[in-house]
Amino acid sequence: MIAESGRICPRSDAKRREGMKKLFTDDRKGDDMPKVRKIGRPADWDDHTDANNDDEYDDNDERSAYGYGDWGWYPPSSPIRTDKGIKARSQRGAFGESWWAKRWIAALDRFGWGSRLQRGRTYARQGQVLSIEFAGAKIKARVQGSRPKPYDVTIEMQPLAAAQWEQAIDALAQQAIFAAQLLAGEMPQDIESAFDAAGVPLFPRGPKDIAASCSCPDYANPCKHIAAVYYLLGERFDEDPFLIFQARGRTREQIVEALRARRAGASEKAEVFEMPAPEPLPALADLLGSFYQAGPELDAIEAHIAAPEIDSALLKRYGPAPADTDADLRVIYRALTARALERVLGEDEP
Amino acid sequence: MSDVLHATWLPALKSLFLWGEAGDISPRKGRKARLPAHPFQVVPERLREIYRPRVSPTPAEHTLTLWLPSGDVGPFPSPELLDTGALAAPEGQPQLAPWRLSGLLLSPVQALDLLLEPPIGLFGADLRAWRVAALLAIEILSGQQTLPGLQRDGFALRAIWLPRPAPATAEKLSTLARALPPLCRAAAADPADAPRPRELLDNFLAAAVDASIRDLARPDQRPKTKDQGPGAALSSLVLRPSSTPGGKWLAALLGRDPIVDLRGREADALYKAWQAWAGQGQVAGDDVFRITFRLEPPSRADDAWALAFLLRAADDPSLIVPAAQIWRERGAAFKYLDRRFEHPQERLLAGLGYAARVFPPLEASLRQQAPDRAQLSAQDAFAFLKEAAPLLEGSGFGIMVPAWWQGRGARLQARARAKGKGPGPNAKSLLNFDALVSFNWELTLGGQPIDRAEFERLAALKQPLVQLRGQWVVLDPEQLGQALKFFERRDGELSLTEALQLGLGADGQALPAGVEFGGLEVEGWLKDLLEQLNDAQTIEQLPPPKALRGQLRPYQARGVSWMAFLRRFGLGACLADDMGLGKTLETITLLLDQRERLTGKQPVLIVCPTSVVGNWQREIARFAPSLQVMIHRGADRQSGAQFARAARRHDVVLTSFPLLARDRETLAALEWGTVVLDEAQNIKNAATKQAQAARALKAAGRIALTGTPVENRLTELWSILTFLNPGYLGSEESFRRDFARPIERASDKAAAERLRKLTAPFVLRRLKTDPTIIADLPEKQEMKVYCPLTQEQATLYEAVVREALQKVEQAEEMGDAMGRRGQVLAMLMQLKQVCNHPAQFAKDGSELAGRSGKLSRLAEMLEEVYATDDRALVFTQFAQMGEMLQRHLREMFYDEVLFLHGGTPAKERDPMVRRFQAANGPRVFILSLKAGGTGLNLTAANHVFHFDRWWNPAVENQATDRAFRIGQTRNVQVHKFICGGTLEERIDEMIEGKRALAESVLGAGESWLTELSTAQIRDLVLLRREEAVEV
Repeated sequence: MIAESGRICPRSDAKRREGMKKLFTDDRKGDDMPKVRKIGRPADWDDHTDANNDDEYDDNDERSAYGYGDWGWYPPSSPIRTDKGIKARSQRGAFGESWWAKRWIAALDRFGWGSRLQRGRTYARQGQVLSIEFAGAKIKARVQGSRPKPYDVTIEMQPLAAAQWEQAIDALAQQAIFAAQLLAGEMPQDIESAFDAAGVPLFPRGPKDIAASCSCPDYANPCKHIAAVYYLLGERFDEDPFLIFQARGRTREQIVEALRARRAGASEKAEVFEMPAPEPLPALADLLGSFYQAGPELDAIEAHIAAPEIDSALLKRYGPAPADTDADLRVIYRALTARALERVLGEDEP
Repeated sequence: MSDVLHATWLPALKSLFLWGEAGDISPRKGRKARLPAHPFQVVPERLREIYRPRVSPTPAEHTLTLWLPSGDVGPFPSPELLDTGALAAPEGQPQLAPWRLSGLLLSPVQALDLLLEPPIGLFGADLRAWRVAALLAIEILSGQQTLPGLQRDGFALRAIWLPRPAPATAEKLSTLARALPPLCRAAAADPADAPRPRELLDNFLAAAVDASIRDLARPDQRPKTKDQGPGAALSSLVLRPSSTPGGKWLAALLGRDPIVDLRGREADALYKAWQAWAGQGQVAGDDVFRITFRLEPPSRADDAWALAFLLRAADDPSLIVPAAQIWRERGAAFKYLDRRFEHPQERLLAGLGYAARVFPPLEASLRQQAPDRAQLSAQDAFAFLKEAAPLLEGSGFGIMVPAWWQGRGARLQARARAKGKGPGPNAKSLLNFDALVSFNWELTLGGQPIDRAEFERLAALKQPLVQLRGQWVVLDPEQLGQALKFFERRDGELSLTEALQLGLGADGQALPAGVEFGGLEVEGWLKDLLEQLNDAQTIEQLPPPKALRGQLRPYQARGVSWMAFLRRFGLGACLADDMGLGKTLETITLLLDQRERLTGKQPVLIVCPTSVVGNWQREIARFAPSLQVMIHRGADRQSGAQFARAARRHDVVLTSFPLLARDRETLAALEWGTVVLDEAQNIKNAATKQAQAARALKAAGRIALTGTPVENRLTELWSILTFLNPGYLGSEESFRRDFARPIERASDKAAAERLRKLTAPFVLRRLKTDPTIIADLPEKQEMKVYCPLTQEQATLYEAVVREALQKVEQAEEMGDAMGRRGQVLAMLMQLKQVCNHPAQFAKDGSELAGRSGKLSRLAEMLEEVYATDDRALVFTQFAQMGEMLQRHLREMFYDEVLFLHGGTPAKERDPMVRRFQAANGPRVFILSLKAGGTGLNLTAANHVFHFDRWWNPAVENQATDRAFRIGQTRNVQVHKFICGGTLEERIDEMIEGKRALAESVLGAGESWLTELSTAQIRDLVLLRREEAVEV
């Protein structure tokens, strides 16, 4: 269980809000410094208050808590816009590009949070999330809400037990591809099946597996700040799929290490390997005899100025370029080839 | 003019420092500095004249300290500067010493401009090495070997293009780093800290690649021709919205400002994502072992293919370790002999994981715990060969594929079969260039002909790799459709031109896409023709024609047989022998041979420069007096049918290039037996009227003569060969695209080789230095060069004669012997001046060009001297004429021309001689006969021109011996200029006829002439207009 300190609200209606919040929070340390604790709840969490709330109304901050129904006596408020935040890459449609980001969102979708999760989308797309950082297994984020002071969001996934990890790694060691892809910086697509086979879930299976808190006054969990972070985590997993492992308690290095131990049976301490020193460079003063002369190899070098045999080979080798630039880069590469050839072999300039 | 340009790359400034060594020493005075200034540097103002930037900014002047090998008095000059003879070679042991130099700072784009299209001049080895680096930068750009990147720059992100050379390029870069002259490293605070060659090179490439892309990305302001795409800014092609991080990154990659417009978390996120993406290097192994894939075909066609996983020693390709061995290793390092591979399992796994992404069929094999090979279907194997293997190789993996894949033999190829129609030419009958060749295509697979039924059977297997008669062959699905169409093709006919293009060019451009050209198989006379074209030694040697009055040297006889051979097939020939080897005689012999051998009696047209019409006329009269020559010239020359009738009555019609252009209609109306273009470089520009008129001529045979190395002047080569063999080298545009630009700008050796193969059979060029020629040549060859008078000269000449003869007669009538003698000598002097140049006679400093036949001829001949790296002495007895020549030639050849005369101070004479003798010194040395005729050693010259005559062989020989003396290693050609039809020719004849004339008589100069009677003198000086005046 996580406790996170809230902050003094500078707004004049802060007191009234605190008053309201007291009704719903069971962990109070005082009026001025309320400790807000929100914990991921089982699926039976009361959901009905969000029934009409979807993306289109999302611009009104805190409205979900205060702007409707019995609590409608607070005017709707908007979040303070910021341009310092992380803007979601997917501005429309589904979040995440690779399968494991989608898998992450899908896992959350199954928790029955319904529209409460959806509410985070606009935040995520507007760039209200200022930062997401991993501290070990713990994920810390700051989200700009309607108050000048950003809210602090903390998310923690249930770490796997050591025994569970052992089982999972045993399963991974059965197929070389897992280690191979992990070492190549790829997340094997069917890695979850290996976890499943070991009876160890990689992704959270229910709200119980995630604990989240936010310093905002919203009682709901996930509030839209937490939800926004959830969405952006999907994109984070796109960039670095190993963060899922990290969130579950093991770094990539630990996993790779454990796999090697399985393969080799016993791991030996690596002997010190001395890199051969670079060839000593002759001093200028020793080269006076040939000072003005190029090596005889110079004339043998022949530049091959032509279009490549395989277009955009680097993109094919490195995989899709970051930030959705792949398609544009392919066009740019082709244009560059054409212009470089034109530059050297084209018609004379007038 | 003899400046040597240098370039130093300055990594800290990301700029190329352009400096130079000056041929003329002009130390900069004043300013006391801590360090001494380089004493013979090119001043920045002059550098600005040499290099003019295409793009801003104007290069800034910069001062730099370079460590150079130095003696007591100054830095040692570079060998290039020493070769100009501007400085004497230094003596003693050099020491490194710092010198202050001023030069220009060039931006990377400007540096590429300079290096790719270097200005005319001499270059140090450093600049030549950087030119290679610039070409490799273009190789990287055009080959897409550059990765978009990011760099942290304080809080900002900087977008940058990073070179990621493919293995082949990387190898060239390593070679270049080894070859970089030490001079490139000379800019350092302390010579002990001189930068490493590799660092310099990498830094240059990085700067050049990044800056070039931004330059190329700019909108193109040049006007577009219709077939070129729009030259919009590259950034306009980007679809990603500019508001997104990706869009901002792309904008910063293509724009002038490399800073990415992102801050804070977005910048962090982009940078991290990029790092994860770009940091995937070195998956393929290291310097010791490379992960290698070996594709193994199955023994039975239906079985699976195998892709074996191996480690292969980088330095010993025969050392191969199977993956199974690696999986057995328990240690963290794999050791074999003295080689060591760290973390073998992880690295092999990482490599396999990476490869599986490039080539997904690999993945299934990785489902095992310790995979050592992947099973592949034939489709997968084909996909591996075609697509994945090059990508993996580009990533550094080793690839071993069956040999048949790399050879062309296993592919579908179209082989041409051609057979010359008819019996072929014989001694009597000739072929036309448009002669037809019957021709058919044949599809081969695995080198074996394949018929339609078999092809369809194989295609029906729908396998890209199939076995045909026990041999693996490739059936690329993309080619099948094209190949099927192939069977629809009918057998056909080709012109001889097309057949030769195929046979010599080894190129099948007429083929449908996807089908390779499998070569040409020829039969019948066409086979003989191709063999002989490729090997001139096999050409049948002809006996000399009976009517020839003279002896051919062996190489000349070979040249005649060669021209006759090509003529037999209706092919044009370019005889490009060095000046003085006797192209004229060879051509005259050929004409005689044709006249004797062939039945057709159409006249021959010889077109030559105005200045050599007289020469031709005299040479034909001398060697082939049986040939009837008609000269087409003068204001009253014939035209139309009248001309045609007159021409048919003669064997040879001689005319000049200007008249060829002017009388195009008349000359093109006739069917000529042969057309000869002498000094064919006159049609080097294909767009000129002369060149167009030459191409319009109708002739059964064509000969081009030139003394310049035509094979190195590509547009000239195209123009001449298109005259000789129309259509053979394609259109001028396609020629420029396929040959001229790749060869001239990118030093494309493959294109040069293709062109050489295409053209070599039609160009015969023998050098004076060729050992097989040199044996046939006398060490000293004397030739008379008959020059015409211009109309102006002729008019002036006649006026002088009229006036002077009157005075001679008057003196004679008055009995004034001394006066008469003086008048005669004065007249001779004046006439010689008129023959030299009207401006010399008038002493009015007027314009020189186009007014003297001798001057025109000298300029033409010196052009060949320049083109062939020869050196020449030009003797004249008039200092004033020498001065005029110096001025005129200097402007004409943009090169220094030395002139030594009586007034040249003694202390300047030795440096002049030294510079002329230096390896890269001035090419032409003018000397006055009196001042330069004795004592000097000028063996660098292999041509001696006597612009005017002393009429005393002993004096002339003494002058000639400046070049023809001990130390001369080449044959020397002596050209004695004579104005035909004037007193010069008459006196020459008299001397030739009176060899017996006592030396004492001749030794007195021209005074013996005064002893002649007035009638004799009149006869001597009278102008024979029809022989003298230019056409």
